[in-house]
Amino acid sequence: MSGRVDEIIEKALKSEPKLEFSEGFADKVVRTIRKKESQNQRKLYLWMALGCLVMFAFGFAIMKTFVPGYLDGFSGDQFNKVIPLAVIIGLIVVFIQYLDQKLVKEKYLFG
Amino acid sequence: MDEKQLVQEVLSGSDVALKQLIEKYERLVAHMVGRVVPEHMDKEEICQDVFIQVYKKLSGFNFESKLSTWIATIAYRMAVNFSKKKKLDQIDLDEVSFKVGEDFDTHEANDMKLFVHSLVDQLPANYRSVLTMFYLDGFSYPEIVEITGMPEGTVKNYIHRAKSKLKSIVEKYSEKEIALQ
Repeated sequence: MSGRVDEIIEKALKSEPKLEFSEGFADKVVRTIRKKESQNQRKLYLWMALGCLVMFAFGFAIMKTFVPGYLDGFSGDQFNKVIPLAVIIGLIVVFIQYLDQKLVKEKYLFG
Repeated sequence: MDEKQLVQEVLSGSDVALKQLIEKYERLVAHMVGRVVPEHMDKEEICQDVFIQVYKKLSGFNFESKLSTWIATIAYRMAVNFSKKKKLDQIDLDEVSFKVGEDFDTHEANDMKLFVHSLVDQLPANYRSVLTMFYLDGFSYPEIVEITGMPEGTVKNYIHRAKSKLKSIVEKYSEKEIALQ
């Protein structure tokens, strides 16, 4: 009797209980993950842009405070040369971030 | 595709690989969540959150354990946190008094299976989880220790006590059926 009951219980425990996933659950999760990812990406770019602005403002304020005459010597033409340089520096920072993320992932994957 | 390849594909941004990973482990995640969170709560939502978390942490997975153990750990801990947040039952096994429905014909193998499942559902969450991991998902004791963070002695004790409790009631019902014959 006892052996039979053990067998019944173990058999039942090894059998699948009722699962209630809606149809296309995996697709739904993939869509949700991708949506969240693009939202996070947008947020990241916004923060980076904001960070750049703050850095510019901070740099500008520092220059104005400690070397007030220096910026006065800049003509409009010189400012036009500085802005593309700042954009290039920004792009380099984004590229380094991207490479870092990629390399960290590779490192985790392949030791 | 082996585990390493699958993870690599998911991390490289493949939707097909991500879907494959979800389909491969949705059963396991459903077991983990289903055993901790009660029937009426939105288990599917929690399972979805588990996969989002798995995806977020996947780049940090270092293959020191099996992928299934790692995913089960995330699922179990998220389910336990959910149940703590919702202040769900934390009763002890000794306090459990089984409510048994009359509509089971314990002669029928399928009904007997449903009968045992209905009893398992009434066990405390810790016991339900450990039984499911051991019998249904086929995890070893060390793997259950890794997933739940319980000492091995506790895991063994839970399995033993839960089975004894189930045995006492199944035995009682089997005897009743024999007497009615």
